[in-house]
Amino acid sequence: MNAWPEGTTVEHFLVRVRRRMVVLRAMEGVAAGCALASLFILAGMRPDRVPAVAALVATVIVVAIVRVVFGDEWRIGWWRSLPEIAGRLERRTTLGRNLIVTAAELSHVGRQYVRDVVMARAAGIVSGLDPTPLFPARAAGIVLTIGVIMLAVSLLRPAETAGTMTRTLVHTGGPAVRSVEVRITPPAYSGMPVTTAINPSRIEALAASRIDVRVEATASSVNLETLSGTRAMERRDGSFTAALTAESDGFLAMEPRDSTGAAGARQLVGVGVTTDRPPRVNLTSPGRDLFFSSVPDTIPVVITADDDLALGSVRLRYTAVSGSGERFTFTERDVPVAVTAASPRSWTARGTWRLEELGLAPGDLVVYRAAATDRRPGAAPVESESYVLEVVTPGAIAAEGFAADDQRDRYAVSQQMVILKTERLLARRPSMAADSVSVEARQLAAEQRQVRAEFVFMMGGEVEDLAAEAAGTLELNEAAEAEAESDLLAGRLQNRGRVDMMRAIRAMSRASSSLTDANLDQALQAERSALENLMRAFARSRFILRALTQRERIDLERRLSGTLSLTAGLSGPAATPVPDDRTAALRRLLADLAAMSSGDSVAQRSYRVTNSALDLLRTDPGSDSLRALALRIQEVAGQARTGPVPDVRMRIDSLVKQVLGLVAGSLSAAPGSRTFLETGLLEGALRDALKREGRRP
Amino acid sequence: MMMTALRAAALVIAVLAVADPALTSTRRARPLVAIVAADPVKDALLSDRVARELDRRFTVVRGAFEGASGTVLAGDAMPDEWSQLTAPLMAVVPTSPTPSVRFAMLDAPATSPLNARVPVSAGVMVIGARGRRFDVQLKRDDVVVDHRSEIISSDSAMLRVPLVHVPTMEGTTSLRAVAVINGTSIADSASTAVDAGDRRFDVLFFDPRASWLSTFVRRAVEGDTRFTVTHRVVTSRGVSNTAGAAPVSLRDEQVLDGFETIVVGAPEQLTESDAAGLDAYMRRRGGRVVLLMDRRGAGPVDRLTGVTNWRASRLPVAAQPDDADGGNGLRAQEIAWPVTTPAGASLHSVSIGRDSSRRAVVWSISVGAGRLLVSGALDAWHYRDRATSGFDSFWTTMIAELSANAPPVVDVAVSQRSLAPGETGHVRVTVRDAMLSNRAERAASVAALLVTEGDSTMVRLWPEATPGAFSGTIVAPQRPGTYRLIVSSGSEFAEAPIVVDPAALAPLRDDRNLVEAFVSSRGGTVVQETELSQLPGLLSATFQTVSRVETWHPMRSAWWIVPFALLLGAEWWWRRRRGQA
Repeated sequence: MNAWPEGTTVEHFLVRVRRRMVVLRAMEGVAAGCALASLFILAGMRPDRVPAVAALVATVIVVAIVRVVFGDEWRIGWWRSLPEIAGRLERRTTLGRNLIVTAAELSHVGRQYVRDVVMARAAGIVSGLDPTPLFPARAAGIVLTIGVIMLAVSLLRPAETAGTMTRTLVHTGGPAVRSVEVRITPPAYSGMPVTTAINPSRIEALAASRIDVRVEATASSVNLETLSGTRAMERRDGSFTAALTAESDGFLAMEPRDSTGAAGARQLVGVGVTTDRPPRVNLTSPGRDLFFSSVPDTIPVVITADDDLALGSVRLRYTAVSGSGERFTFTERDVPVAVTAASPRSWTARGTWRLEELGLAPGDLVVYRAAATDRRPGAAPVESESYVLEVVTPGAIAAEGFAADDQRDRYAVSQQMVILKTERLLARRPSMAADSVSVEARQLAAEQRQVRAEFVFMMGGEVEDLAAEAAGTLELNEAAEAEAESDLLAGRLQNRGRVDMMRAIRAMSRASSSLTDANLDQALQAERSALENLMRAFARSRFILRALTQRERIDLERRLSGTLSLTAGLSGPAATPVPDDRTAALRRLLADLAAMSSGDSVAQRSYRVTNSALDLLRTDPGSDSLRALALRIQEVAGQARTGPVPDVRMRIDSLVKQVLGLVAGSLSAAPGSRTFLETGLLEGALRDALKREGRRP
Repeated sequence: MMMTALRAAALVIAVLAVADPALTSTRRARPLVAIVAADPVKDALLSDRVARELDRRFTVVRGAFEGASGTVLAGDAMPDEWSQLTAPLMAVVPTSPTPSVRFAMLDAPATSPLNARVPVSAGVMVIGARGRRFDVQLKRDDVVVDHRSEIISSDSAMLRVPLVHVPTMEGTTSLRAVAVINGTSIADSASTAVDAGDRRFDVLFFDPRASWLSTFVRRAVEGDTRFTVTHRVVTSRGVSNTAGAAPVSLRDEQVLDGFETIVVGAPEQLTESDAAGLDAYMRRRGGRVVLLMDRRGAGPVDRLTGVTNWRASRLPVAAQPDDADGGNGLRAQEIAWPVTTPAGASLHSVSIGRDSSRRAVVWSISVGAGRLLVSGALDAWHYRDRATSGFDSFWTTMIAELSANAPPVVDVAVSQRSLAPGETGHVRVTVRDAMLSNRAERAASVAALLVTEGDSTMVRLWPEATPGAFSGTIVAPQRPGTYRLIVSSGSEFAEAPIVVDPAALAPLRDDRNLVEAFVSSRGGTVVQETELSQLPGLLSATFQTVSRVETWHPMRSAWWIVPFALLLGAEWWWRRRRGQA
């Protein structure tokens, strides 16, 4: 406790000064710590050698603490003595006139007149002082900023190295590649800029881009190896150049050779090729099949399209089909639409489709779809899914505006089912009352007519036939047949499916009549005749009016059908599957990697292992993991010539494990150890004995 | 006088020597104790310590000896010659330092298809290293090919470490597993060898009628590089599709001999003669048969399965029966299972009923030396999506396991595939036809050679009590390298690789419990290494004091020549001193 009230003022002020000095020392310490940590990072350089964040933080904290604890004069406990703090303060200002130091020293002695005066004056002086300008933080702040920037830059550096995938080439004795420059010129229509990469480990290019490779090498020749083969690079102005077109994923391997033909370390650049994706187009409105009894004048149309680079055009195309039977007229046109481009890659087209201009009549059909192109020269337009607009007869309308199949289960009743039901009724007839048989027969007749109607609908509506049926005439319409003579002569009815179908429909009519009369035997005969004709009709190829899109196309391979005669007597060699190329290449690479630590000379081993890595890359050029693996192998192969043995050994072990993981995943496990024959024999004997025991009464 | 006495004494010796008198006496016998090291290399020091301790009171012999009064086992594992150990038996088990790590097992198949990954299972005993990290590396030619690391959670643990090796070329690969407790120099290693070759399992698919289930199982097997697949599918009467030299029927077991496994689709269509042929194939050849049922129907095949009462069920949804083998199993909606599971059947896939009963869907039984596997997953072929069902992997794994266990004509097995120079290994050879024949008189002859480049050594094999079984001992040559043990029987032969490596260490099983039980069953006790001084006392207490009457011929000792010569020499010296001639 201070003996003077004024002494408290002086003491508080000195404590404030001390606090500020501690803060300033801490700032300087943090700055020094940051600088030291950045030096550690730079010493490591490689991303995998960068010290852990915890280690860096610890470095900064330790240096800061050391700075605070030892102060300016490298003496622990400098902050404890207030007179010393006062001394430092006096050195910063002349106002103190040593009174503050004196007051600090007198703070714990007894009161006296002179001392009272000193204390009072010192209190007066400190009340007019401000520690901030006396101990400015500017210098410490600048130092701290510099330290933090250094640390941030050094932390970012490894990340940048990994991100740009550039690397320093390894130079060894003999022919060597000093630098590789790759210039990628995308196709003009893409509008993408030309890019250049120096010593890249990997490049990305748009398909059809031009790739110019320039290699600086201490060699008499340089070979460029790609997926398509190896060729010599052209020597020009002291460097080696080659140009190629990006077609598919792969690699560029530059191999320098000296005048004797001896090869140096190969430099590998992975090539990723992005293909120009065709545009996607979607007919948003009206994006469905339309069935009209009365055709509206106009329909609003909305099309959306997008592309990975830029769209070239969007339009609505339609094909109008008019006519009947097999005499159709096809008209193909476009509907004008206005395009709104949100960006070159995404367009929306809107328009109004004026249907009244088409002059559609009942039975006419319009197939419509949207089409879009991108800017790739010669690219075929991409079409959306096709929809149908059909003008139907008034009787088929079930709802306003469009027609849908209002009796979806009608397909469930087939001719085969009618036959089956008739047979069952015949079987039950002896035990049934006559009127019951008649009622059920009439129900069957209705079902038979339903089935017949389906096929009539399929044939495009045989109105004449329906009329004939209504009149009770079941013979062929000679007039209609005569009209079709010209078609027959022209070969258009070589397909006799239509005739068989007609016969089937007529047989169904006969069956229906017989069922109505409850003449089940005759009805069954007619039903079977109808079925036979149907089978003949469907056995021949038929016209399919509406083409299937690629997505809907039937995969005949998966129908598990075929001709029985083809299955007879097939024989071939026993199946001895071989491992796929990727697995074989991985195993070869594994063998070469394992042999890197022993065997031939380092150069030969490195050459062999990089060859194996390229072979592996050839099996799946698009695989990022394989490309990264090939690059790692190239690095290790280069390091094997110059690097310290333990380090190389560790990296080879790591590579072996990576390759092993890849190859083990594609192989089945070998069965475990074999059991002894006697064990099996004993088990069998035991089971036989148990079996005999079980049989014993 | 002196001269006469000396001369007389020499004469007495000469006369007694000519007479060769026989004496009879009763003696207390010095017991003969055999010392057997559980592992000749690892337990050599312990074995020496035991010998030194016993040498004062017993006559010690190294190795198992039937004439010994008793045996002391040095080590904590059962030795290969355990059956020859003479009772009473005592054991001295080593005291493990703390912490310690030791390979108790390193299991890998002796042979592997080239196009397969080889699972290597290591069993490591770790004591007193709780909370520490533990690393196991698998090395090939000093290159680490696989590595596992884990933290030990108990004071004493037997850790099973799965490792993988991929053969890169045909031939023998020496593998070394190294286990280390991190941060210490405490380590142990064990070696083994795997022989890889382009050997494939010959599998026959035989479908008496076209079966989707069999077809899809065949397609899975045909896509696996471990197999060569021959098939016959009878598509109609007298019409069939074949691949390879598929037999017309299964009735002739001789024709089926070349196949390790026969897979039968639509087994209910098999004829009596087919079933009889398959039965003979399993009993005489030790072959494996898989019956793939896609519908349930009675037939001659029931004679093979021994099951006549079946139940079938259609589950509400396709379910994945529990895979008893722990893999990703089959899915099926229609299943059939035997009402009573045959005795001794192994269950590979079971379905749990509503009443918690276990229904054997896929099961196998022994038939003679062979094995019959029956699948009641009738519609499993519907569910082949790899994301939800292990259809392909289940069948390829199952058929590979079955095929691998089908015995070859001549089979050779060695106790250790990796030996140190001079180390002893045991060989066992079985000749299938002699062992499985049902004839009264069976004969087999074998010859074995240990071969390396430009050199070969004959290995003597001795017949065992079981017809067709032979065994022998090999001593690893001094020169390191890869040797092949070639065993021939008639025109057939089999090979086993043996790697001689100075650093080879066999895993030492930790059979303390087994050793304790075995020793106590033979009237002995287990002594810790630290209590070795008690062993002579314990042994003496165990042995009965044997006094025996012995007839001996004292004059037959060659040492009589010494006093005889001395007496004559002294007589001559005395005579010369006295000035006599």
